[in-house]
Amino acid sequence: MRKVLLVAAIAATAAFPAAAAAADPPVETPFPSPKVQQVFIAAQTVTTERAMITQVAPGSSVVFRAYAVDGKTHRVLAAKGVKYFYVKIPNQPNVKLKFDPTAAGASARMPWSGTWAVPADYKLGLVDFKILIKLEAKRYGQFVQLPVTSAQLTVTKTTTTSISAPVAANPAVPADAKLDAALYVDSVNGTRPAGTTPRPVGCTQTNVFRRGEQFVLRTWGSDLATGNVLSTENVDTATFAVPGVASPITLNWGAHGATTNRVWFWTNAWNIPTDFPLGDATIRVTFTLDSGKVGSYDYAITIIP
Amino acid sequence: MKKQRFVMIAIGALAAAVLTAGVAAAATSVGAATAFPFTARFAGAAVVRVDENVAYISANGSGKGTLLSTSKVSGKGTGDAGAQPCVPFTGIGTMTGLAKTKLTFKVVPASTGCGDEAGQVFSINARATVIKGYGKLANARGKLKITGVYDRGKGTFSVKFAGTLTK
Repeated sequence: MRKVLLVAAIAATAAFPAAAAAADPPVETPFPSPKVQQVFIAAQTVTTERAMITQVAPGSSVVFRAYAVDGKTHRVLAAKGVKYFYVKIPNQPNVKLKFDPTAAGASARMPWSGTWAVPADYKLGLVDFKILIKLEAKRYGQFVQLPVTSAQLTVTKTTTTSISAPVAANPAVPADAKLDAALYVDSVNGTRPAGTTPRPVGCTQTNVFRRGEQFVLRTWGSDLATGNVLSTENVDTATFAVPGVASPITLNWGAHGATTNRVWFWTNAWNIPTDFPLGDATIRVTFTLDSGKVGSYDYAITIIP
Repeated sequence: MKKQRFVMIAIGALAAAVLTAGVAAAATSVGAATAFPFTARFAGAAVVRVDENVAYISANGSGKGTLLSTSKVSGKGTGDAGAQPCVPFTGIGTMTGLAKTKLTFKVVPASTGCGDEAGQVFSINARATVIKGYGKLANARGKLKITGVYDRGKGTFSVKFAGTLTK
């Protein structure tokens, strides 16, 4: 009887290979999670002149800047109503974020900021920081960086990849503005630039690019009506538009990072022409949801020779 | 008596008019398409064979769907493997459910599978047009959005079909 059952089981498996494979179907792992609850936070690490940096030297300093959106009211948070908002850094005092769009490194779009003076003897390597917020209304939020090692804040004695130059303040979303979708946006240097030599490290966060480099935009966000992270399931179109480039560039939803910690977010690349105008440029990121609602974000970069 | 007969005729005429209107309205209702939300989820095995930048795709899976109940999906298509990181693809497929309920569909251009840096895990973002419905889905028409994942290394996929159909 046992033998008959075994033969039957083998026969069944052979007859339904699809069903057998379906036992371990591949899944998406949206960053930071399938839903963003309560308070959305987007944050960047920058210089006082608003250049995004990934690498920071011991003994120097880095500005954390952020904006946050209340998931209940859908409003961008100004100083009022925020109980605490700070950066938690391993083995360091917390860095408090203050609301001041004119502060060094901050901008109207990223009006909360705080500076961390990196101790000269701080351990080299990734800085596994997180940013925490609590509202007077007892709603909470947390931010961590996308888990792509090369693009995460790193203390290193060799900071040659993080190019610095003054960058325009991001165009503003009025404080207290009501949004349909909250977006996080950053950019990294592509590993194989078509028109110039590559930087020592590829895929580091930067908003200062040389002509001929590859601009790679990375973004994720949340539909504030549902809290669901934006993915192909709820997004009709996602693009970024570059001034002077005829058609918007489609953003692709996909998996990134190490196989042991793969996460899904939106990306695509743009090869910066070698004759692209120098100076500041504003990239407009636009998500049109299946519901018809639209989320957009104006992102400032600077092109240098 | 004459007055009473007149009232009776008037009531009769009115009733006939109301009835006629009612029948006409019912006919309109029967003739109009009824929209309904459709979703289906499947997981299974997929094989992609690349020959001179043409990706030949075949997939078979099982799952559940609206009016299909427990069902299977199968599909075949081709893609441009030379396009990176997003491979455009088209094809045709069938969802087969219980009680001879079936839906055939065509994956239309602008559908893509976008690979990760290693070209192993693909995000599927496609659109399909219903070709024909059978059984409980007889006369179904409409467009569906297909989203999901294809793991090339493991040869597995999971997809979701969603949209509003009419019948």
